[in-house]
Amino acid sequence: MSDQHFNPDNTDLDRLHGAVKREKADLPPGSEPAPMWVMFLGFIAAVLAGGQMGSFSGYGLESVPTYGAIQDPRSGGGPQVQLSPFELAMKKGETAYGTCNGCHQATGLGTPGAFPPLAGSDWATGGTERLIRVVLHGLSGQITVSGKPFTAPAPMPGWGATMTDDDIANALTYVRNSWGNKASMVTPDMVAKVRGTEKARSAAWTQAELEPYSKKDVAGDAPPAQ
Amino acid sequence: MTQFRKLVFGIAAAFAAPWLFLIVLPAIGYQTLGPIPYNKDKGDDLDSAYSFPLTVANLSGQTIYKKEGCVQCHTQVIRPAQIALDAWRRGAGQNQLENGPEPVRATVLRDFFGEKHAFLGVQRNGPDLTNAGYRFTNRMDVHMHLYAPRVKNPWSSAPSYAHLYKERTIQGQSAGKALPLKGTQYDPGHGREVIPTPDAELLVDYILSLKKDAPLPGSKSAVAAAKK
Amino acid sequence: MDPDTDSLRRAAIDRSVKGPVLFLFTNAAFWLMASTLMGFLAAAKLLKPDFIADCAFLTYGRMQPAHIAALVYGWGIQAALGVALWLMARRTANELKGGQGTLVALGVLWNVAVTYGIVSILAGNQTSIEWLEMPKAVWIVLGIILLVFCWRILSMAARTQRSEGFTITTWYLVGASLWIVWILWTAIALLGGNLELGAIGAGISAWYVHGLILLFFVPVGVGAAYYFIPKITGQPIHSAQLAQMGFWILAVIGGWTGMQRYLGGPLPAWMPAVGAMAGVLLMIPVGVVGINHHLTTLGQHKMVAASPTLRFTFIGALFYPVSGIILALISAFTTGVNLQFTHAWYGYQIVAVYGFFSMAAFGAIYYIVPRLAGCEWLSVRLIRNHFWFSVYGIGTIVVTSLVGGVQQGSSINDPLQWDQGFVNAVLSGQPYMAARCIAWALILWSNAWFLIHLLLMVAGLGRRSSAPTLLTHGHEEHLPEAANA
Repeated sequence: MSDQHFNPDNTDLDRLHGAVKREKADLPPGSEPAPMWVMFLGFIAAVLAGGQMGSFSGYGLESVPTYGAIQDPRSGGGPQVQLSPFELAMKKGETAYGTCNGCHQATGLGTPGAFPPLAGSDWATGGTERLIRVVLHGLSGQITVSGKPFTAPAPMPGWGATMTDDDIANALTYVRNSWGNKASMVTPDMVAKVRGTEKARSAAWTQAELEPYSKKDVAGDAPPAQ
Repeated sequence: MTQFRKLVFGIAAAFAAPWLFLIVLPAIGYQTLGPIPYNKDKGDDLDSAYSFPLTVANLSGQTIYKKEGCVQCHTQVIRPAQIALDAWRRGAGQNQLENGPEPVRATVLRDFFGEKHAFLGVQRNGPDLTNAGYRFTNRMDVHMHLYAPRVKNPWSSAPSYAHLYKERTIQGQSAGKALPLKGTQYDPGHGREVIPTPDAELLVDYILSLKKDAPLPGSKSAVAAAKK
Repeated sequence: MDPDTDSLRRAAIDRSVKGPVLFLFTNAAFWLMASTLMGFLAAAKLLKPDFIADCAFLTYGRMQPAHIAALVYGWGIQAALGVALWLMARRTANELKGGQGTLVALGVLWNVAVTYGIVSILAGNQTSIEWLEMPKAVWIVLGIILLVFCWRILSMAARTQRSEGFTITTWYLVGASLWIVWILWTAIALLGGNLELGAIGAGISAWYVHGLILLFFVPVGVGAAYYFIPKITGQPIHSAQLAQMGFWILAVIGGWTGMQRYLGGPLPAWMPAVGAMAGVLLMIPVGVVGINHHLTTLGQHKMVAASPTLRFTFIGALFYPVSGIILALISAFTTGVNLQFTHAWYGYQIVAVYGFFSMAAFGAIYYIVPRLAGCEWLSVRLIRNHFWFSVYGIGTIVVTSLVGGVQQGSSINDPLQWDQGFVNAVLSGQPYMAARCIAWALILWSNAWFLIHLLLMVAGLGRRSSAPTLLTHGHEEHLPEAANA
C-alpha cells in the first residue's frame, strides 16, 4: 500500500483515527464444540417439524390434503333451533322483499298516487294464481285495491326474468304474512308451475285479465302458515 | 477453489433446490393446468368442465378491489372443514340462514383460474369473501356496505369508500341508484343524494360474482363411496 | 502489522465508504420516521375508521401496505446495505475503490423510486401483493440498484485481503447479498410480468416475504451481531462450530419456508406442509445463534449497560429467538390455524424487521457513524431515550399483536360463534389496536430524536473527543475495556 493512503497529516484521516484507535483486535472464534444439549433440543425441534408433513398426498400440483372425517363442530354449541319452513321463508322473504321495498316501501304502505299498498290489500292476501302472475309479468292500468281505485303513473314491471322462484316465493310469503296480513304460504313449486303455464306471456297483466284468477290458489304442498 | 467460491457454490446449491421445486417448476406447471371435465357417469350432474368461474368473474372489478387494498381485511379462502370453522360459518356459502348439515367446500387451486394473482388476503378484520355473491341479494346492499358500513353493523371497522361515490344535488327525482341514507350518520343532507361511480359499480359486480362453490368433478361419487 | 498502521488502514477503509454509508443511513432514518407515522395512522384507522374519513389515502387498505413498504424498503434495506458495506469493507480489509459517487447516485434513485412507490400506494394504485404493493416498475428499479450494491459487496468478499477476513460475518453478508438479489428478481420475473399464476402467485408472494425476512434481514442482523459482540466485549465467539451450524442450517432451510402462510388454502397441499416444516425447523439455527451470543456475553453485562452498540445488539439478539418461536407458532398446523389471518402475522413482521433487525442495525449505526463522521454522539440522554422507547414500544406492539391475534383467531374459529358475524373478532381486537396506536406514537417520538441526533453527527456537529459516548457514567476509569467501545 502506498504512502498516500496512510499520510498521517491528512486531517480527515486523523480525525477518524481517534475512534478507530481504541478498537480491540479481532479474535478468532472459540473452538468449543457444540454442546450436546443443543443437539438434543434440535432433535426435538426436528421431530416437531416432521410432524407437519403428515396430512397430504401427492407432490404435484394436484396434491390434496388428507384430513380425517368431517365432524360438525357446531353440535353442542350455538342455537340449534331448526326453523320451520314457514319461519325460514319469512326470514328469507324479508331479504328478498328488498327488491320490492323501493316502491312498496318497507312498511308495505306504498306511496299514495304512485305505488299501491300491500298492507291490508286483497291483492296480496287473495288468490295466489293472480298474485304470482302479477310478480312474474307485471301489472298495468287502473286497479281496485281493497275497494278503492288506484292508478299508478307507470305500470309495475315484471320480475320473472330477474328473480328466482325461491326469491319470489319467499317474498310473497313475507308479503302475505306481514303488516297485519295473514294468508297461506307460497312455495317455489307454485311459482314454477305458474311460470311454466304462462311461458308464452311477456306483456304485463291488467286487472280484467286477472279477474278469473283472483280467488284461485295454485295447487301445491303449502304447509299452513303459522 | 477459493473459500469465497466454495461459499457461493454452497449457498447457491442450497437455495437452488427450494427455488426450483417450490417456485419455478410449480409456476411453469400451472401454465399447463386445464379444467377438469364433469363426468355424468361419475355422478356429476353438471355439464361442461369444472373451472371457476362458471360465469366469468368480473375482473375489471377485481382491479378496483386490488387498488383499494381490500385484501388487508378480507380473505378469499375457505379452509377445510376438519381444521377450521370457515366452512361451517353462517354466510360462508350458499345457505345463508339454514343450519345445514353440509359444510361449504374448501377453496381449491382451480377456483382461481382466470385470475392473474389470487387475492387470498392478509387478515380477517371482516368476513371471508369467497362466496360473498350469495350474501347480498341486491346491489344496493353492497353499495351500502361500501359507502355506509356502520348503518347495518355499527361495530364494523370497514372504512367508508366515499371516493368511489359521488354526492350531488338531487335533480328532479331522486335517481334510482341513489343510496338510501336518510336518517343515518352518512345522510348527505336535504336535497342531496349519493350515487355510485362506475368504479363502484364494477366493484359491486365483482363482489356479486364471487360464488366459488361449484361442486368438484367426482365429488358426489367420492362422498357416496365414503358413506358406504 | 503494528497497531498504528493497522489503525490507519482501518481509518482509510472507513473513509472510503463514508459517502455511501452515511447517505444510506440518513435516508433510512427519514423513512423510519415516515414508516412509524404511517404505522400510527394505520392502527388509528383500524380502530376508528371514521377518524378523518374524507381522505382516501388514509384508509387502512392503503395506509397499512404503505407503512410496511416504508419500513422494509425505505428504512430496512437502506440501513442493511449501509451496515453491510461497512462491515464487509472492514472485515475483508478492502477499501471501496472508486464508485462512491455511483453508489450515492443509485441511493438517490432508490429513494426516488420508493417515494414514488409509496405515494402510488396511497393514491390508490397498488398491486395488493404482500410486500410488493408498489407498482411493478419500482420493483425493477430497486432490483437493478440492488444488483449494483450487492455486486460491490460480493466483490469485496471475493478479494479478501486478510486471512481472518473469511469469518462468519462474511458468510452471512455474502449470503444476504446473493439471496436478496435472487429472491427479488424471481418475484419480478414471475409476478411482474403477464404470467397467470392464480393461487400459486399468492404462494410465491408469501415465499418472497419470508425470504426477505429470513434470508436478508436476518443474515445482516446476525452478521452484525457476530461482529460487534466480540469486538466490543473483547471475548471471542463462544463456538465456531455452533456458528457454522447456524449458518448452514439457515441456508438450507430458509428457502423452503413461506407457503405455510396459506395452510389449508388452495395451494397444492405439500407446499404449505413443507413450509410449515421449514418454519418449525428454523427454530434450530435461531436457537443456535442465540445460544452462541448468550454464551459469548456471559459475565459482560456491565459492558452491555455501558455501550450503546452492545445494548442495542444485545436486545436485538434477545428478540431474535422470540421471532423464531413466533414463526414456529404461526407455521405449525395446530397453532397456525388459529393464528392465520390475524394480527399475529403483523406481530411477526414487526418482531423480525423491527425487533431483531432494526435493533441490531441501530447498534451498528451507533458504532459506525462516529467512525465516519469523526465525532462522537452528543447526548447520552437521547440514546437512552431511543433505546427504552424502542424496546418498550416494539415489545408492546409484538405482545399486543400476538395476544390480539390469538383472540381474533379463536373468535374466528370458535364453534360457539358460527352464526355470529364478525362482531367479536372486531371488538376484541380494539384494545390491542389502541395499544398499538400509542406504542407507535411513542416510537415516533424516539425516532424523531434519533433522526435529529444522526443529522447532527452527519453534519459533523458531534462531540469532539476520542472517548466514546457511553450510557453509564463514572466507570470509565475503572473499566478500561468499556473505553474501547
